[in-house]
Amino acid sequence: MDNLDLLLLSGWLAKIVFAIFSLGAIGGAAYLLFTKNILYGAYGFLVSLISVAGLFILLGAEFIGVSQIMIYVGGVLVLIMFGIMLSANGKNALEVSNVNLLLSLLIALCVSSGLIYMVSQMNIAYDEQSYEGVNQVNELGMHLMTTHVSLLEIIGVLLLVVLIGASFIAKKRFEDA
Amino acid sequence: MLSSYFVMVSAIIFALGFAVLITKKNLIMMLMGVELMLNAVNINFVAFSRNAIDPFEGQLFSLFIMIIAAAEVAVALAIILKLREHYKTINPDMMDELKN
Repeated sequence: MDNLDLLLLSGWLAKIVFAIFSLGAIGGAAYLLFTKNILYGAYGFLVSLISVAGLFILLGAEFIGVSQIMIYVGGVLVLIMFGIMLSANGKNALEVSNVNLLLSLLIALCVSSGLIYMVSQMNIAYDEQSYEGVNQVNELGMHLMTTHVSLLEIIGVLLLVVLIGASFIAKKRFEDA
Repeated sequence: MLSSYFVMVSAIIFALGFAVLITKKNLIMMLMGVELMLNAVNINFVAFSRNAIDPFEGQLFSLFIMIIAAAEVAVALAIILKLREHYKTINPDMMDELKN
């Protein structure tokens, strides 16, 4: 553990980095809410996803952060972009109308303020576990291969089913046409 | 950093995702809102597992949630493309065959 890590874990640097990433996450999500262009909304979503990956790394879960970037930014967002491209047609194809914006903002305000109040009333322990000397990837792999191996197998089967099912749903049926 | 700050950020992201879900009249935008909510849940899992006896339980949970979310997006986009082919629109308000 070198000096930068120590600074990152204990000092003001962690707060600044946390502020940047949380602003990015919340700002991207808010931009997605307020924009009327679906492609710009996808870019806001991208900012939010990358910032959440940074939050994961700040929480000490490096592997989850890297998987977030790989799965969400590399997979889900590209899929969504392709969906936007394939579903857009005609003039003003990227325009989306906002309905009930005031009502939904009110609900969001209520939900978030209630949750924040609840969290601030909770007593979360100060002394989080130290990850010093723990090899994250090693530990996660050991868990995956010992205690959670059935879950891993089920996930593998699920991914296969999704692969087949999605391509089956999306294919053209010539007898319909 | 205290874990509760992360949980607060995740609460705000969850609420924004919910607002996106009920505001936008576009199925792909609604899908993005659902993904935001799943992201907020992932932050919660990782933040709370930091204080647990075995911190990797929560991380594994969020990993599995991510994989399920990716699978969900794949199937949902296939369905959306089919719906667009059938209705010529992806505005959920226009799909009202059962309404009358």
